[in-house]
Amino acid sequence: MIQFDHVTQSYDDTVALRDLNLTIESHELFVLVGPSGSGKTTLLKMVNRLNEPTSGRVLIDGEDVAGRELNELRQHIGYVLQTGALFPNMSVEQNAGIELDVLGWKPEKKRKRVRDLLSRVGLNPDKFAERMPSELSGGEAQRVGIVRAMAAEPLMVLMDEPFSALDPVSRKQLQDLVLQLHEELGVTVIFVTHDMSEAMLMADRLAVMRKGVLQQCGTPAEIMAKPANDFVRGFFLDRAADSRYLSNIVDAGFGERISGDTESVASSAQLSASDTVVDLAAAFHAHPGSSVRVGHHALKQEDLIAYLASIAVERNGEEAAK
Amino acid sequence: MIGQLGTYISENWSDILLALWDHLKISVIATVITLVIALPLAVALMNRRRAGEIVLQIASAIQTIPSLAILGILIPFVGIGTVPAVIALVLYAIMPVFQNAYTGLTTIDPELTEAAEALGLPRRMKLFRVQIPLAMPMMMSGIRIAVVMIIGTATLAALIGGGGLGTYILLGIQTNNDAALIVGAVLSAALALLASGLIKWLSKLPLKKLGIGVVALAVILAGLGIGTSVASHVATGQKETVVIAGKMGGEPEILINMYKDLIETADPNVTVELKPNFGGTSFLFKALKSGKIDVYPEFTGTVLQSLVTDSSGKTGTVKVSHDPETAYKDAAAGLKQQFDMKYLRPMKYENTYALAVRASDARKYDLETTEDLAQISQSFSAAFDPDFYQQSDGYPGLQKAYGLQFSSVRTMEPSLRYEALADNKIDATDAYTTDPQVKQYNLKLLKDTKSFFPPYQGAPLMSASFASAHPEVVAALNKLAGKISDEDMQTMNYRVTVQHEKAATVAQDYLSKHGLV
Repeated sequence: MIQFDHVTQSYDDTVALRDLNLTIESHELFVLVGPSGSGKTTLLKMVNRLNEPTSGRVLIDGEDVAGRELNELRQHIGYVLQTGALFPNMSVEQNAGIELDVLGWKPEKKRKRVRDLLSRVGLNPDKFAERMPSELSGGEAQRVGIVRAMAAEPLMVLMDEPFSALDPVSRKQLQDLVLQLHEELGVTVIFVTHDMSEAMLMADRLAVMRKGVLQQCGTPAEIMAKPANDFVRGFFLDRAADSRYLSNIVDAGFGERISGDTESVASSAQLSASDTVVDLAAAFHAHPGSSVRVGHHALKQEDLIAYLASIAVERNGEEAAK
Repeated sequence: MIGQLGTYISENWSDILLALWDHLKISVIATVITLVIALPLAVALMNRRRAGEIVLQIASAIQTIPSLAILGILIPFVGIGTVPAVIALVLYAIMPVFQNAYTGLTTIDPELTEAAEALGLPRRMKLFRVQIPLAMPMMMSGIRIAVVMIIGTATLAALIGGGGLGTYILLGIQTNNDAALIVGAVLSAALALLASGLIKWLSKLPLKKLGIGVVALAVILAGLGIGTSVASHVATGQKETVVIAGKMGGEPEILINMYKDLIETADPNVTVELKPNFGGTSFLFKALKSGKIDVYPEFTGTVLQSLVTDSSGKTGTVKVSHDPETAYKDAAAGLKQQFDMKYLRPMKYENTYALAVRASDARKYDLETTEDLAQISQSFSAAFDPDFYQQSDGYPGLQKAYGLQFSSVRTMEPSLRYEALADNKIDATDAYTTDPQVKQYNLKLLKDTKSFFPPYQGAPLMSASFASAHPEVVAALNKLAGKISDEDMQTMNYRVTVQHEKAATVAQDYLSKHGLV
């Protein structure tokens, strides 16, 4: 469990974080989302003390990080940067295993661990172990970055906009990979992004931030259903502005077509094709686990999430094309 | 030319190798000291930007001082020889090494630095596994620049008695010996290229292998260095060593070889260490004053014009007598009084100016003296060294004293004037009385019957305390007093600088022929 307790960060006359309280549960995939300047990265870096708060405390399992020996603390917290940030003078295997060198792992054990993780992230160790970072694509480098962060079986992994520099296809693959690793390993992940769609896709819970102030914290469905204020609503709607009607979801091929006997489907609510994704989220929030009828289609909660994620992929593709 | 070079190398190869070794030694020592200072400094200051910038400014400022000026500034503090040469080289080389290492260390991608911090790498591991390897290309290029510069600049060590390949370059320039010049220049250039290539190759090795390689190289060089110095100590044994230096050129080298033979013959317990081509007048005189050397041959005229001072402390204003005996007495008295030095009796020959004509003309017109030439100078064309042409104690004064009236008078590059005279391009020129070209081109020097030119007679110069402590040395050197005629000296200079015989051999020949050893 990670607790931010009345955390404030100010530089000269600007306040980057204002009296922020937040609790992240163990084993969660927790997303900090907000536009640039919202303080989300500042907050993330307080966990491994790359940033020290001006006032307030950061507690891991009840213990103030300020009291921990710095390198020892960091050796048990994985960290993934935007570009992978692999050391160009070391091979993939050396990069991936450097934390294990620090912790004094035996070479054979280290080698086994690194090769196992490389396989898990989809990099064939026989092919990739000896490569240098300059010989990797952006996606491959970031996979190695994830292995490096996870190698020492850390308590948690911090990810600072890890996929923002990737092309849409690699990004989608890595999002799936992180979700899968999180599920398999059960490690706590704190994930920073400025992309609401990515946040919705990845998060068990998320915190929306703006100008150093926490706006709302909750599950994606909760936030979608009941945005705490106009900023959250706007931030969310803006992201899906041109495709928020349920007809768009159905047209995109999500959901299950109900054939003939419509009564046989256990649906708790019925919405029209001109209702919005916000209405749909509200329905899911009110009746968790159920499906919603829209015309001749039944939509489940996963369909909504998958649809929003597909928008992200498309939009990023367009951005990349520009 | 090639043949001449080959002969020169085959006759001097052991000395050349020794100079090459000296050069290498000075360069390696300077490089090691530079690295030991500059690299840790760069590491220490990489997180202290302001201090780093200040050091960078200071290093850059030092670099702008001409190397000769640095050598000059250092002499009063550390004397002459290898030490000031190494200090000057280090001062120069710190800048490129520090700048490149500092820049390399401070311009590492901040994301990589952050990654290293976030991984919790201990300081030492961060430095040796991340920061130094990432800065290594920059560091190595700085070291390469420094080493090439050190090897090139180390040629200047010869100016202050540091030895090395510069000795041959200076010797080549001073004695117009192209073979020596080429040997010095080509070897130092080759050494620089070789070192540069070696460093380029080393820079491709991983850090660990590089460290092992450098340590191994250092151990080998240190071993060799200790070996040679032990060997030289063993060879020297318990004997007393007298250090004798000479100015640039063949003539001083012949003289100091004679000194060596005379002293070692007189007292077998004394070893004489020679430092030929040691430098210019003021440099040798300073070295003598500071006790770095014990003896060197100096000219009476030079003592009076450049060393002793008038009552107001200025040099160059003391009146120089045209009588050789008076000039010697004035010089010896001045040296004794002002510097507490002992100036032994001079040799016979005078190395001064004289007018030279072709020997055939001398026979044809029966020319013996400058007065004889004045009678028929209207039919002679002359060319002079530009300095000689302008100085009042040169041609203008001479012309007045003898009433010379040449049909034409030009100035000419000194190195060309003898050949021009031999080729009938001109009929008379100025000459030094012991120049070997006089013999080489079969010229006739005309006597200065009116004693217009000040006398330049050579004699051993030493401190008074050295003289009284070493009566046997004084006695041995005094055997040369009044010996060696102008023609003798000309012949010996001819053998050394034109025929490239060894100065030691030529000196030995003279001494045994005249029964002095």
